[in-house]
Amino acid sequence: MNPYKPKFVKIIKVEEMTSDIRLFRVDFKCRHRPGQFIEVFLPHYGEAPMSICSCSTQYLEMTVRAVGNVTNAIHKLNVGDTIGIRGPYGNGYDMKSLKGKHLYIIGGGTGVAPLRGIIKYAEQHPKDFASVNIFMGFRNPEQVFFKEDIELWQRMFNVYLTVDQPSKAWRHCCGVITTLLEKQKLINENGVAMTCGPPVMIKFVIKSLNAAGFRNDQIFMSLERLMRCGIGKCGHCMVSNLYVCKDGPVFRYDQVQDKKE
Amino acid sequence: MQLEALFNKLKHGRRIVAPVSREGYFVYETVHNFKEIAIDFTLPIYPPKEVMLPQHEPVYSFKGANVRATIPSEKTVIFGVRPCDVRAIGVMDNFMFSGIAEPYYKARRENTLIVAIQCAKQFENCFCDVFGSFKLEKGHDIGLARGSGGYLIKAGSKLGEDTLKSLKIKQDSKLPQANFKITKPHQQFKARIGELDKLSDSKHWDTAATECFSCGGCTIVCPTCQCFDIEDHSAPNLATGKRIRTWDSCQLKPFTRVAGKYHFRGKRTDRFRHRYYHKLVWGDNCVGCGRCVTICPTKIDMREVVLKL
Repeated sequence: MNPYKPKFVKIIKVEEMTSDIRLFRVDFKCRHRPGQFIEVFLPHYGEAPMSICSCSTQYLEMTVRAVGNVTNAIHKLNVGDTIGIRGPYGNGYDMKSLKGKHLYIIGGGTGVAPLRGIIKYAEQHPKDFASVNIFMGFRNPEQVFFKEDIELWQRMFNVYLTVDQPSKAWRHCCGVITTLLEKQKLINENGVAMTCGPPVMIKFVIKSLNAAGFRNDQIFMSLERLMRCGIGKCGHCMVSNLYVCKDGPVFRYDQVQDKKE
Repeated sequence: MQLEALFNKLKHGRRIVAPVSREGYFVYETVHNFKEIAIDFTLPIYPPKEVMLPQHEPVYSFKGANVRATIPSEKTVIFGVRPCDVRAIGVMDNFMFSGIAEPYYKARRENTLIVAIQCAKQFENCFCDVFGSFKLEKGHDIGLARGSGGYLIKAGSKLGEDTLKSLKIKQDSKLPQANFKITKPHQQFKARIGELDKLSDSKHWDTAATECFSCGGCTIVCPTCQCFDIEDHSAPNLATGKRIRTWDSCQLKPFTRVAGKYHFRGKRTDRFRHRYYHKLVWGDNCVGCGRCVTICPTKIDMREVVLKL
């Protein structure tokens, strides 16, 4: 088995989320955990690591922001086109070990994508958790994505949204995500927080969580690095002695808090 | 055992890579005649890793969604490997074979026979005495040591045993071991290595890093460095393409570049320190061959850096 060879699959759904974000659903059937990632290959453009944002054995979904060569080329693809996939890689979230807990899912901007898989799992196993609390922050209302999912989640779970720059029509909170967190009573006993977003956001979210009584072993984060090979060999994704592609991307905060770059 | 006789027996059906002399340095090259070998070689400036991990390895070629991979299978002998390099190959094997094994390294490694030659003395920048890597214990297939009137020969593995048997070469009962006593400065260096986990905030990292060009020379010559990049190349008509695995270096700035042009180890000090910790703290990844000291254009010496922290 050659781990470098991609499997070519068909795109079965494309959804425009914002001006530069699209959701792609591909016909790639595999058992995967929320928080894992895949390497997406487009012949003649290259390969890019993408978070899996679904939770299903029937298909795989990824949210792609057009920022570079590969992602801009992916955006030109339609339903029926083929794309190469390697993976799933990484450790992902062990959702079974979180049974009975209060989940606090805190995401900022594109960090929301890897967290969506967790919420999809909770949708499929709603009785597994004491509560599911979703906090999401975006730059402005046009940058909000997973709008349809959010509507469903608002009916099933506790959802709190905020944007940095509101528009006239925006009816939720505004300001940074920590203001949202500080407004709610967070249950730290039997609680677990999962966060993903820009490093500066994660830094302040952790401060707020600690202030609410969360220990560092109750906080999980999804780290992003350049995952090139995906199999823990090329060295690009190392954070100190940890390989994000193999030991992560999901890390418990107390295990990485002292790690240097 | 005479080296030339061993060479001539081994070369049937195998490519032989051995040290040759080039512009004042010794390097490993494919040789066809025993006369090409520099028998008096010290430590080749390039380690033998290139046999198992070529600088450019074709991974696969593709035509649309049609992907074709060719796993290499050429039999090779590395004739003349120093004990420190044998240990380094062992370090690389452990890493590359663990978890999801790297298939190209694995294929080349399984087709490689290592003929090790003991060191009679240490060379200019060697600090193998710090790690005991002058000992030829395991990891080689055939071991050689200078004796009176030739070389003593003994197999170091089952492959070595089988090979010597098939070539009808009689083994000697024992190979003498080199015994280089650890020097006093090296003792201090070794003690400091044990304290490195508490020294990551030392101000000396910044000072030492100002001497560094981030040229990556140290990672090219290091026998345990194996980080790589994966590149996709397209034919001009965009009908076909190929994927190539190439050497890469954590010392080069783009190594940790992500989308949005952010570099996680953009600061030279971070890159500089990362290598030291990878080699000395996060595993026994340094064998004290001293090549990084020899090659560095600004003469940065790992031992001096660690002692000044």
